[in-house]
Amino acid sequence: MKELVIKQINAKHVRKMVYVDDKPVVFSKVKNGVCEGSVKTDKESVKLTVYTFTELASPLWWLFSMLFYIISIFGLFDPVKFKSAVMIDYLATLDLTQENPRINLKTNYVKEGNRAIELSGNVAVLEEVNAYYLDAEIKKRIKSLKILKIAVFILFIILLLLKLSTLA
Amino acid sequence: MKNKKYRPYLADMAPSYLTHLGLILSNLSILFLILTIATFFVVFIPVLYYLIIIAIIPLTIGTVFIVFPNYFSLFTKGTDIINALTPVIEKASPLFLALTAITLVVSTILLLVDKKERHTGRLVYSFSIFAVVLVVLIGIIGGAV
Repeated sequence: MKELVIKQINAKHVRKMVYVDDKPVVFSKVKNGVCEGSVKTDKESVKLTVYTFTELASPLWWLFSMLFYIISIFGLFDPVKFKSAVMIDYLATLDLTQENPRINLKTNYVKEGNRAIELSGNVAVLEEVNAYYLDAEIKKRIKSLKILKIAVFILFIILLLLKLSTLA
Repeated sequence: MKNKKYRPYLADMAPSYLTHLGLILSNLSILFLILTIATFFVVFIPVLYYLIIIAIIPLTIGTVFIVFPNYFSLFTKGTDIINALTPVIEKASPLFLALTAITLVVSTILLLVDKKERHTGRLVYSFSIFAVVLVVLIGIIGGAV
């Protein structure tokens, strides 16, 4: 059995989910922007998939987003901001015939159409797709979320003014 | 787009949501800490009062002047209002202290269980402030403060 070691170089740059043969890779905690994970396999080649991780991809994205928006006092104390809908589209086949297969994974500058991932290491890589793409659905969700947030904020202002008028 | 889109199940998102909540609560604990300090030291109450009065203007996008044409009188009558409010605000200090403690504890737990990232800075802040909060809380319970 072989152990493929995957090291993320700039792990904090883009939040990623890495899958080997459709199974998620568990990484160590990020330290100095670097984290490491490994996968054990008997196969000679495996499929590597990388996705951008975003909370807006979940089924109840609107509920949690609004919950966090209100808890954080209208986003004032929320450090997580959803701005970009540009996601990683990466799919490659890794040849694991080498001893102690090891790869370093580094994300590039986020821009639609740019190469998303740079892989280095002692493994032969056959890339099928490697690019940043604009996820239309996520873009729509970001837009809907903005409208929802403005609506909630206006509702709050109306309630605040009503409350103040009763106090006066 | 050759890959299928990343659409996780809710269960996969749970750790991320908990960390997100931890970060928000950690930030909120700073707000509650400031409010606690402001209510403990009476000198800060006028500062807090004028800050709230000023903050309401952008918060209501200026509409407060339509609803209250004499809103500016709150600035001139500030001293009277502050004198009336001071005992009420002083009574609220244990509440703010308790809120600081709760947000600190919950955020610390949530950030400690995060398996993806270390939050050293926030944890150091949480532990050090919590130690101070605990001493003050014990003081309040013991009737020393």
